[in-house]
Parts: sequence; structure tokens; C-alpha cells
Amino acid sequence: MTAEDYTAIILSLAVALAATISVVCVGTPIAWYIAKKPFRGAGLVVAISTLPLVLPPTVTGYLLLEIFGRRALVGQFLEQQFGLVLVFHWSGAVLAAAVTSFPLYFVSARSAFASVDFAYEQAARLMGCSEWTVFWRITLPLSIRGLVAGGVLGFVRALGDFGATLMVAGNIPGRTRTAALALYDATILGEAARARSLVAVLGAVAVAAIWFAGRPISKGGR
Amino acid sequence: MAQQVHVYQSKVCYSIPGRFELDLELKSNQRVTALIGPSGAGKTTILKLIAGWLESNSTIALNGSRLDLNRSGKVQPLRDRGVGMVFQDDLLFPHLDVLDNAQFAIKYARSERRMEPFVFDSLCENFGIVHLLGRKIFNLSGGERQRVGLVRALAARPQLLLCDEPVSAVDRVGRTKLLANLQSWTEREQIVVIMVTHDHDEIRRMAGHVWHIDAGRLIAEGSPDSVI
Repeated sequence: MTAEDYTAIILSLAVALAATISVVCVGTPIAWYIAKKPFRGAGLVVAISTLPLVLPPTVTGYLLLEIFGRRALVGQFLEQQFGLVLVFHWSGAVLAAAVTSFPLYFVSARSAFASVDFAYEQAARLMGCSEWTVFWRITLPLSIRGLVAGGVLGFVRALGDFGATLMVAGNIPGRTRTAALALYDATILGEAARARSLVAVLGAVAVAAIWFAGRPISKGGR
Repeated sequence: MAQQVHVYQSKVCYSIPGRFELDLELKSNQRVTALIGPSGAGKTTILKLIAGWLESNSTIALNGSRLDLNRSGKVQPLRDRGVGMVFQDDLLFPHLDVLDNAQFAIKYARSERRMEPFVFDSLCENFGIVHLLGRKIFNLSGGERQRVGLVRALAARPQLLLCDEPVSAVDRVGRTKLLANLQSWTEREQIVVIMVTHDHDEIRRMAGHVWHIDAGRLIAEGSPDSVI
């Protein structure tokens, strides 16, 4: 592997981690609300949230460009107000990875929250607990396995994102070239040994992440 | 001290609208009222309705003051009602051990409802769960789980305790002792109890008043001897 490949692997891990943290921060309250407080229009929110799962990644990437591109409304706003340009920047790779991995976390988190028996939460309320305490002490511990599994799936998906990342962040060596893009380059250039090394690293990280998700959790797992 | 629970003009709006039409009044000086009736009569639903667990337009009052509404006339959140509930299937939190379950209200409830540590110790001794405190919930027998469930509910210092067959998993000898402990503790703490049970001996031993429910309606009430 070249020095650029090591940079690509580190960038991939950083992008996947940042995307996963973003997805958990945004997805957890939405998943909780939809699971626990059903409302008219929840189905639409679920459909939009899970759309990146069924769309071709390049379509997701194109739509992100339409929203966050330098000529797009949101893109212009971010650039003018905060000087933030997502396109051809590592932050664009984070955005692309977050959007494509969001459904995997969201579906898992929603299902985990919905599986927590309402009766446990009501019992805690009857004992004088606030909604905040019910969430932290009952709902979250009882759904933590599903949340961790969803987070890991999202991380692995973010780590391997290709199409949407390429569309939004491009393939700039040392800046936006992730391991998945470096693997594509190695394959196109016929550098089999380099490609195999990247496959081994990406595969090992994915297997380690899945093993981590499957570990028993001492407190909280049912 | 006179104790009164009023549940009147009650219609459950939750899943079976209009089915329940109740006007229940706990007669004065009755600390324990038994709620009896055939399976499916709505006993558990009535307990949930009194606790505020189910959405309804019921009027629930204890000693003349409303449990269902706060002073400004808004719906009282469950946590502020001062109602405890002991469930038939105990509902102990599976991710917590016995001590954390028993102390749950002490740790996390609003400060004014927290029980002093020495009173909690006395409560655990009273219900014979001291030797269980270090155990995991899934290592307990059915009877032990129900004892822990009773302690957990009482540790929240309710003014009204709703019990849904609270000793059904306990053997007959242990049941008598446990109910005697429950009776002495609720008398000491001035807690009003409404208890669902099918055991006539239990009713005669504990209850001063009986509500007989069928199909969501009160069909008889009075002293145990007059109703059973």
C-alpha cells in the first residue's frame, strides 16, 4: 500500500466516525419520537428517512449536489453565512456517508425503541420519574442493543460508501479519496496487491465492527 | 381518618369507548378495598384508569382532592398523582438488579417523594427481600419478584396503592404473611389500597369494602360478607 492509501484509510475511518456520530445525534430523537409518539404524517417521515436505502447511491449523491452544491439554495446559504463549502471537501464526504447510512441506523433505532414495553415506561412514571428520566433510565437501556447494532451497521455502510461520496466530495488524493475510492483506483490501474491490501483492511474493520455489535452488553441488554 | 376514592362519570376513551360506566366510591374508613369480578370484567383496566395510565374523561378523586387534574385544571402527569401500582406480571425492570429496582423511586423520583434510607431498610426487612438485594432479576422466583415489586411500589411513597393480584405467585403460607406485612405497612404509612384478587379468604382478612365488577359495570358493593 502507498502512503496515499494509508491516508485514504485514515480519512475513511474519520469520515465514517463523523458520519455515524451525526446520524446517531439526528436519528435517535427522530426514531424515538416516531416509535413512541405516533402522529399523522409519520409514515412520510419514515419513507423519506429510508429513501437512501433504496435509491442508487449516485442518485443520492446527485440529489445532495442539488441541495448542497455551490449553486444550490442550501449550499449558497452555508457558504455565505458560514463559509462552508461541502462540495469537493471532506465534509461533503461526511454528508454523503451520513445520508446513505442514516436509514440503517434509523430503522434499527426505531424498531429498538418500539420494542420497549410501554408498561415499563408507565411504571417508571407512576414512581415519580420525569420523561427525561424515563428515557435515560428505562427506554435507552432497554433499547441499547438495537441502537448499537444500528450504529455499527451505519458505520460500516459509511465506511464503504462509494457512489454518493464520489458525486459530492470527488476523488482528490489526500483530501477526499476514501479507502473505497482508493480501491477503485487500484483496480482500474491493475495494481492487484494494493487492491487486495485495501480489501483486507476494509474487510477487517467491517468484521471487527460487526463482532463489536454482537457482544453481550452487561447492563441494558435484554 | 376518612378515606375516599371517587371514580365517577367514567368512560374509557382509550380503546373501548363507552364500555366503562362507573361510579365508584371508597367508603369512609376503608383502608383496603377489594376489586373482584370474572376474567375480562375490566378489573385491571379500572386500576389503570384510576392510575391515569389510560386516557379517559374519568374523574378520579382521593379524599376529596382530584388526582387526575392539577390545581390549574390541567391533566395531572402520572408522576405527580401519588398513585402506586403493583402489577400482576410485576414489571420489574430487567436491566436492573433487585436493589436498583427496589430503590428506583428513591434514586429517580422527585425529591419530595423520596423515602429516607432507614425507612427503605425497614421496608425491605418487612417484606423479606434483604437477602435478595444483590441478585439479578432473572434469578428470582415468581413470589420473590412479587415481593420486590411491592417494595418498589411502596418505596415511591404513594398515597393510593393499586394492586393487581399482587401475591398470586406466592405460596399460601407466604401469601398470608406477605399480605399481613402489606396491611401493617399501609396502615403505618396511611396508604389507601385497592386490590384485585380472586381469593375470598384474602378479601375477608384484608378488605373492609368490596367492589364487584362485571362487563365494566359495578354490579354490587359492600362489606365482604354481603358481596361474596
